[in-house]
Amino acid sequence: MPVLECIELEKSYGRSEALRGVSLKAEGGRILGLLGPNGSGKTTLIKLACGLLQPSGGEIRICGLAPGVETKKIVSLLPDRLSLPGYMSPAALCAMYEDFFEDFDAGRAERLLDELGIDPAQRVRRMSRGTREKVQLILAMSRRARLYLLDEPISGVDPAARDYIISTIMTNYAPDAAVVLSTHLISEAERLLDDVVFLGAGRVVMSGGADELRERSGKSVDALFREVFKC
Amino acid sequence: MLSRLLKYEFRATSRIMLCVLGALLAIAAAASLGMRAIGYNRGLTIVGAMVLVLYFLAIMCVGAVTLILLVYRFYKSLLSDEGYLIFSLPVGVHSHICCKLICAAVWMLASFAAILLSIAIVASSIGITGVVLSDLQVMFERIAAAWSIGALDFASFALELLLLAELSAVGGCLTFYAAMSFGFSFSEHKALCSVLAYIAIGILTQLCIAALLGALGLLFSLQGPGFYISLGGILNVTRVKNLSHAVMLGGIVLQAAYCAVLYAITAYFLKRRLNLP
Repeated sequence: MPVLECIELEKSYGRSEALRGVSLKAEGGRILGLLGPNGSGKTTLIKLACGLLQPSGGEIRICGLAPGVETKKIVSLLPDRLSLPGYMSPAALCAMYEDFFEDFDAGRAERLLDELGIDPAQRVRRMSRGTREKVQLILAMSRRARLYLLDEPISGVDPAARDYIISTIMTNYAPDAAVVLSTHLISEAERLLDDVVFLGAGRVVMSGGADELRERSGKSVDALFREVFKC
Repeated sequence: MLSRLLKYEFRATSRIMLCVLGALLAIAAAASLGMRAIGYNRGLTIVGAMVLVLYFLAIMCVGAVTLILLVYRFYKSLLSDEGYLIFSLPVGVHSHICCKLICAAVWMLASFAAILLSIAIVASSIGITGVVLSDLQVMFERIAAAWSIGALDFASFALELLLLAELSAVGGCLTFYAAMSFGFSFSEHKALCSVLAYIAIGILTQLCIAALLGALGLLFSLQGPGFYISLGGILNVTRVKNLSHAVMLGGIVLQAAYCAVLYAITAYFLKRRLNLP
């Protein structure tokens, strides 16, 4: 059974259609790149998968279940914006994650915070934007989830931070888990990806294994992306 | 999970509420000293009067801060960027709303209690607490004697009044919650839509109350003249008590129904139409 499955998934905001009949699968143990230009529906799909939005049509399943309280127990979300309360410290956030998520590994979170030299007692509001993003990533990747939904994890951060984020993702996700990573910075993330879905204007434009696409086109995924979405 | 949500909600709100309530009691203590200082000399009288003015302002601030904080917490944790964290927790929408409501109800009661305590502190400085309490006792004894009302009736009236007041407070919170849940379901002009929704809920509520009163008037008029003749016998003590209980219970039922409708609207928009930024 795929960890994430979308069947003819649709989402409209009023008259605007964000997703139009998207079908895709994310299998355990693989990293799926959800690639597309801005406004292609990547964030909408991730929001649907974690139950932050309701689909207008079609189906979305996580381990066979519709998004809800049960799926939130096995889905780890890294949103594309800073969502941590400013008055809390990383230590308080870890305690909160431990309270709510049975799969949260507090030891791993502490180790990652220590590696980065982040003070666990410092309040989030006193941290720089980059540090906040790292804390958010550490919290998301310290769970032993079945599905990791990482929305633009490397956008808006400096190249050194991108390398750290990519290595954290590669070394910390559970072996049987699926990772869905949305980005438009493909050259940076390409080495991570096992499977690729190109989203354009809410539709699946192209999909397949990353190696398969490279072999078939004779180009890197990044070059293929630039060709497909050429302005 | 509700208890865990409550733990974090009280942690988030107590940082501010405990400071505000503590400040009120401190200002009340200062006002109490200020009351004693009035009359000693011109300087102390001015200072005492200023502290008293500050105390009255503090009472108003406590009410305003409590309301603003409870509305702000709903917006901040459920409808702003923090919503991504809160709604990714394995907790149902009902638990989120109940958590906010329970926290709001507790802080409103705490604010009310703190205001009463502050009044007692200020009153103690001029030694009128005992006089007020004994006057209240005399008043209740005379009412009890005149209307044959026992302690049980007083207790039940007080309970009904407290329940009605608490439900009204919860209804007030839910009006904000429902309006914000509706307004923030739009992609743009979320704050404006929330304000318009709040006004619309207020107008609809007034229309419903007017319709209900009109229906009651019509119902009474259909009873014929016999009804008004029997109404003349309302001075019968037992009937007054029963009528008062009926009015209070009717108010509680109506307020509970009002809360239930607003709760359903809030839950629907948070569950089905959530539209985080």
